[in-house]
Parts: sequence; C-alpha cells; structure tokens
Amino acid sequence: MQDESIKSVSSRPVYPPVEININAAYHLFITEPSASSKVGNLLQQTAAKTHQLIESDNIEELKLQLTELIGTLPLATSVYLAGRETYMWQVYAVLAELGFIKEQIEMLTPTDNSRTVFCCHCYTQTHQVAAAPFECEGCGLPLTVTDHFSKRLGSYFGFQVNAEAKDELPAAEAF
Amino acid sequence: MTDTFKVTVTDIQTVASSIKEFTLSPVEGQLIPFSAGSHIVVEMPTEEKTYKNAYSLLSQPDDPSHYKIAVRLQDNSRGGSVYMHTQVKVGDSLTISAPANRFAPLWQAKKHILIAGGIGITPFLSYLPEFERRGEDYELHYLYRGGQTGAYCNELSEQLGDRLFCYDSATSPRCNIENLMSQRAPGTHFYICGPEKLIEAVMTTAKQLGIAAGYIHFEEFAAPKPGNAFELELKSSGRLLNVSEEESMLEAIEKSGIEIPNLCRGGVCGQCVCRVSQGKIDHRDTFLTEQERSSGDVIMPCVSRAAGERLTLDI
Amino acid sequence: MNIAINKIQTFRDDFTYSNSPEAIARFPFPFTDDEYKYTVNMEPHQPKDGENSVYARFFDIDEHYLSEMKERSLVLAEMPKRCLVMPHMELACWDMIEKIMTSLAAQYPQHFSLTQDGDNWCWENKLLNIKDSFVFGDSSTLPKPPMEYIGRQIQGDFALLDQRDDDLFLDAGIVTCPADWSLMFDAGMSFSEWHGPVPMAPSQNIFERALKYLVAIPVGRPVRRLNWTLTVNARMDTASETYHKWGHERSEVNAENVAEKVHLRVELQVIDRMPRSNALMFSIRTYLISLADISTNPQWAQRMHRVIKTLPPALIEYKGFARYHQHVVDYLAQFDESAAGD
Ligand code: HEM
Ligand code: FES
Repeated sequence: MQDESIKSVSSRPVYPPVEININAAYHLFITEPSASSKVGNLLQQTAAKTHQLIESDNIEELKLQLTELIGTLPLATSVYLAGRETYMWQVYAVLAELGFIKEQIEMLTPTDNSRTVFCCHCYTQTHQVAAAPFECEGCGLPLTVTDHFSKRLGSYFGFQVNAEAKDELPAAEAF
Repeated sequence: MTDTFKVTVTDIQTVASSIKEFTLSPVEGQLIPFSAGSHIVVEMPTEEKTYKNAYSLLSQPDDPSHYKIAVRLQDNSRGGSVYMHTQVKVGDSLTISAPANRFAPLWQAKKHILIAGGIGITPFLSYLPEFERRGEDYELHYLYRGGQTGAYCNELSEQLGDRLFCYDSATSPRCNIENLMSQRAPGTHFYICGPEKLIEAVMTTAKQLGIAAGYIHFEEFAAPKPGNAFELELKSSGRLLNVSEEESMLEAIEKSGIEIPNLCRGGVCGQCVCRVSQGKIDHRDTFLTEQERSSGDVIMPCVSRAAGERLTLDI
Repeated sequence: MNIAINKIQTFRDDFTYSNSPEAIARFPFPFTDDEYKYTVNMEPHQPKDGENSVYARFFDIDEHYLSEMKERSLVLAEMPKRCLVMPHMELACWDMIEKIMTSLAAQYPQHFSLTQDGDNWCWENKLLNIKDSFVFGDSSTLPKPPMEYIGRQIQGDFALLDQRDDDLFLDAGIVTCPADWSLMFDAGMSFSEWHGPVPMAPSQNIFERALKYLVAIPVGRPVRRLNWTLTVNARMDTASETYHKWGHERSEVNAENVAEKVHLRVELQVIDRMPRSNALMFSIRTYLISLADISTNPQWAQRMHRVIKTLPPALIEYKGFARYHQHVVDYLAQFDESAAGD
C-alpha cells in the first residue's frame, strides 16, 4: 500500500495557467480572503459590469450566497477560484450542486502546498497538513499520504504508515 | 452478434402525413424495460439487402408489454423507411436489437430544454414520463412542418401545457434559437434531436452566447458509413473472399467459416485486430493508435475496410 | 448442481474458512500464461467449463454463502458507510434488485424464489430465511434501502456506475471485501480517477481502451474479467478502512507458514448494462484459496511459481506483497521442475 509506484496518480488534479474566457458573458471570482490578490490580474481584464468578486472562507455562507445569486447569473458564466486546493474543491462541489459544469470552472494554482487528508480508517479529514507522516486528527494514527485525490472530498488519501511493522516510522517530509 | 429478438407488429397508426407509428409486442413473455432516450435497431430484410435502422423508443420506459417507434418516410430513402411504410403490416414479425442508449438525460441538470425537429421528437417522448416521475424542470420546443411531421402535437399540448412550445413552419413564426437559449440560468442543459441544420444552429448560437459545449447534447445516430465492395485475400489459408457493400470484413470472414476473436464489433475493444500484408486501409475504428494506423499493417475488421479494391490479411 | 452450503466459517480472528475439494476444483485460477501483464482481458459473460464451474450461472453461489453473508453483516455493523448510494442512483439499485432476484430465482430455484404480479413482488431466500413482499420501485416498501437489502443476500461486492459524458462514475456500491481500496474515498470518481493508483497500466492505454468499450456495452451483453492479488490469511475484508488492523499480517509470513497463510485472491468481475437506468453494474465476486490448496494441482502451482517470480517489482509493490514475495516464490519452486536449483 505504499511507495514509488503510486507516485504518478491520474486522479491528482493539475492546475495549468488560467486565462480569462473571453466568450463568457459574466465572470465570477471566488477566493479565500487571503487569496483575492491572485485574481487581480484576471479581474482587470474583465469589464466591471460583467464581473463580481466574492471573498469568503465560510463554505456554508458561500453556499447560501451563491444559491441566491445563481438566478441572476447568465448560463455563460465563467467562474475562477483561488485559494488553497481543498478550498477550491469545496467551492467546486457547491457550484456543481448548483448546476455548474466543469468547463465553466477554472482553478488557479493552489496558494500553498498543504493538503487536506482523508483518513481511510476513521473518515476524518485533517486540514492544512504540510508534511507526512502526520498524526490523524480523528484516530491519532500516523498517516502517510498518497497522490490519490478525491474531488468530492477535496482530499488526498491517507493510511497508516506503519501498519505492517510498528517500528517502521519514517521521518516526516514536507510536500 | 445475435442479440436480436422477434416482435410482432400489433398496431400501425399514421401520426402525421409522413410518419407512421408502429407498436411492437413480444412474441412471448415481456420486452426489456429501457432507459429514457434509448433506441433499438430494426432489421428489414429486402431482396437486395437487409437494412438495419435505429429508431428511438417512444413508449413508456417501464412498460415491458410493448415498444413503440415512429418512422418518417424519407424523401430520398435508399433505406428502410420505405420498407417500413410500404411492406410492414399488422401481424408481421420483425427482428429487433435490445435497447441501447447514447442519449440519456443528464440527471445533474437543473433544467432541461428539449429541442425537437420533426421526427426528432421521438427520443424525447420517453424522456417525458421519466421527467414527470422525478419532478424535473423542463421545456419542450418542437419544430415541424404543418401536417407533414407534426406528430403528437395535440397529446403533447394536453400533457405539457405551457411547457410545450410549438413552431409550425407553415403557420407560425420560426423558432428564434437565440431567444430560446439566452436568459437561461447556470445548470440549464439543451438536448437536440433533429436535422443536422438544427443541431448546427444550436451549436453556433451556443458559441456566440459563450455557453459551454458541455451544456449541449445531441443524438448522433452513427449510421454506418456506406462501404465499398472489395476483394479480400486471406494469405495463410490462401482464400479469396468478396466483401459486399453491406457486410463488414469480419462478417465476410466468419461467413467463410473462419473464427476471429471479437467482442464489441464496433471498433472499440481491440479483440479482432488482424495483420495486413498488402493493400490500403480505410480505418474506421477508435481502437488503434495514430501510429498503428499510419503503419498500415494492422486493421480492425469489425468496422474498417479496404481503401482500394483489394486487401490481403495475414490469416 | 446441488451445492451443499457450509456452516458458517470465519474470515477474521480464528479464520476457520476452508475450501472443500469441490471448491478447489472449481476455483477460477486466473493465470493463462507464465507471465502476467495488465491487458484489457474481457470476455462475454457466458457459461463455460461445465455445470459445476463458477461461470455456469450469472451469479455464482457457493459453499461459502452463509459465511460470506455473515462476514458482510459484521462489516456493515461496524461501518455502515461501506454501503453508499448517491440519490440519483436509486433507479439503478432497482435494476440491480431485478437482475439479482430474477437470476437467482431462475438459476437456484432450490434456494430462492420470486413471484411477480405486476409491481407486487414476493421474494424468498430460503438460505437466510427471508421472505418479503414489496412494491417494485418503491424503496419505502423494503425493510432496508434497496442496495443494502439485496447486497446482504448475495456474495461479492457491487458497484453501480452512472454513465454520463462518455465516462463512468462510481456513484453507488456495497463494498465489504475489496482488495485494498475504499468506496467512501473513491465514490463519485470517474473511471480514470478511481484507477489512479494503478501502476503501469496508464502508459499502455489500457484504461482508455477499456472505458471506450465499457460505455458501449449494450443491454444483455455482459462481459467478465478476472483480477487477482495475494492476501495473508483468509481475510475477506482487506479494505483500506481496516488496513491498520490487518497490515501487520503481511510481516508474519515465513517459510513455515507460507503455504497455509498466503492465499491467492481472485476477483471474478462481471459488467452488465442495467436497462432502466442505463447504469453499469460491476460485480466483484471474490474467491480465496491457500497456497497449500493450490499445490494440490501441480499445474497450477507450477504456473503460479513462474508468474509470481517474474512479476514486475512495481506490481509486487502495488499488490502489497513485497514483504513476503520471496517466501511465496521459494515455496512454489518445488512444484516447478524448471526452477530446480534457483
Ligand atoms: C467498470 C467497473 C470497474 C470498477 C468499479 C473498477 C474498480 C477498481 C478499483 C477500485 C481498483 C483499485 C484501485 C486502487 O488501487 O485504489 C481497480 C484496480 C484495477 N482495475 Fe478496475 N474497475 C473497473 C473496471 C476495470 C476494467 C474494465 C479493467 C480492464 C482493463 C480494470 C483494470 C484494473 C486493473 C488492472 C487494476 C489493478 C489491479 C491489481 O493489479 O491488483 N478495471 N479497479
Ligand atoms: S470486435 Fe471490438 S474492435 Fe473489433
């Protein structure tokens, strides 16, 4: 369950450079408050009356806000997301639930290398994990992290690093 | 591929001047239920060849007591529609395939806009009961030529009320595709079934409005491209076969008593691959890589053909 | 065939699971060559190899039926989310009920019966003493949600794949005996996403080709394939979820216990189009056999020696037996004459 061969994993998202979709009728920018500067450049390329910037890191509030907003948005809306990787996928899930399709949603390069990790043993998600192995916030097991990524959970897959031999506990390495 | 079964034609109705509706009942037992948007392939044996045409099922998906299809008499029909209109009588038996679906509704959609041109109404007729069952939000826009292709108008208007929009080219203004597509909220999906021109119009408008292509769905009846007849030499067995226009190479080889492994018979699974030792190839599969294609020495005989008059296989 | 169903044996703790000589004889031995490669190894799911084979019927019910159903209920009691169904998959679950009930009743009439009066169905499972009447398609008339209800009565894991945009999505399943993956984590993924961790195959276009084929499967033309790995002890539930409980067993294999402890784990996977929902049903029927039982068939033991010995390191690692690979090779060598002296 470990190692080299797992390294290039096709479920791991890639984030190519984002450009403004010039065909879109409306441009919606959604960012974590700390990441709004990341979209400044893109924002400038769109006319003020066809864009909007939402800064929010409260997903529940964002959901309510978007549910209200959606009736006023054209079908040809492009959405641009900026923030940590897990944040972008959480927003993605909200947008998908509201009916947006993947072609409409662009994600900028995540603002840091930290990962949200899903523990396959207790189903707890630990956020802002910077290195692995680390201790799961749910069950306390030392978890190693693979590149297998769930968009639904916005998380990487984590499992106990030393389940096969308790004394094989490698030093933590940053992502 | 003998996944076909016999049905009896138990009713024929003229539902518009150029469209007949056929009710097909099982010879015994029940038919297979199907999903909204499914079609069947009907075999029509005529003297010169057996036509195989795909028709959308328009009966209730969960009613296994019968299927219904509707067939428009095509003006320049080389094919089956003339047969269906002139040869088939109540009581006749027909051979059909199991239902297949390449045009299912997207259940993630928030709203479905159905755009039908003439006989293109048929797949949508099986959407409607499923939409009702699931409480989906939808509109049906129906474009037709008065009298000739406007089948089911009255029933639909009774059933759908103000969710039905009819555009009879003989009497009412034309459908303005741009109006139809603009002012829609995210999550609205468009489904088109009708003539190529209608599909193109919707695609072009979507592009102009900046609507993502993933919102547009249309039914592609991949009618097999007509084939040319050619000569096939089987090198190892030293045999010479004639592949006719209506049969695939694989069928011709099987007819001669030689078995080739196969699975999909549609050029996707890769099972039937054969080596070619001579002759130009018309590749029609989706299995081989670009490299393998251009090498010119392998072929998928279930769909691909000779580009010239003769092909030699290494079998 | 009149299968005798064993009394309940265990796939955990004391591992009382065993195979009868009949079960060994019908074991779906997966190796057709001396070397193993990933290929698009699919064939039509039609009966083959005679009345007693695991391929004789659409779903294979065997002597382990009661044991496996007991094991499933233990797993679900501990982790109810091992059965997961997204709301849009409800109709597909009913397709699955229809397929399973009609097949079992027709092919194992001594154990199962189904009477259908329109949508009023009555289902009897004599092996588990279940008899229920319900309205087909109305989930409120079943004692449990449809996928769980039927999943508790049939051997093997099940996934239902939603088909959209020419891709498949893992949107429902009951998965209590997987070979080291997690339904909860993989739920909602596309075909290429849930296969993300598989090494080597992507470079060979295997998944691309398989997917093209799968989305074109019509109703009534099911296909099957075999997959395999090794498992220490007769443990059915080798899910990622419980890896922290069984991982250590991989370190406990030695030259003395390898024959009894190490099991060849074979999955008979069947893929079938569901008529009402257009979903694909993917059933994963798992068979376990110890190396000791394998070696009762010298041809199997010889072939398996060659396969395991030549397996690429990336696959040994991925399948999780790097720690005891050499023990398996050494043990099987005695059945392979050409291996004398290695
Ligand atoms: C359509 C339904 C299918 C489902 C739900 C499914 C699911 C899975 C899952 C969950 C894994 C484990 C991946 C991991 O390590 O996390 C896997 C492995 C794999 N799958 Fe599939 N699969 C399907 C079809 C296929 C098909 C048609 C092929 C044929 C090429 C295939 C080939 C493989 C291979 C080669 C592996 C690696 C197994 C090993 O080496 O132990 N799968 N599959
Ligand atoms: S039979 Fe599948 S590619 Fe020819």
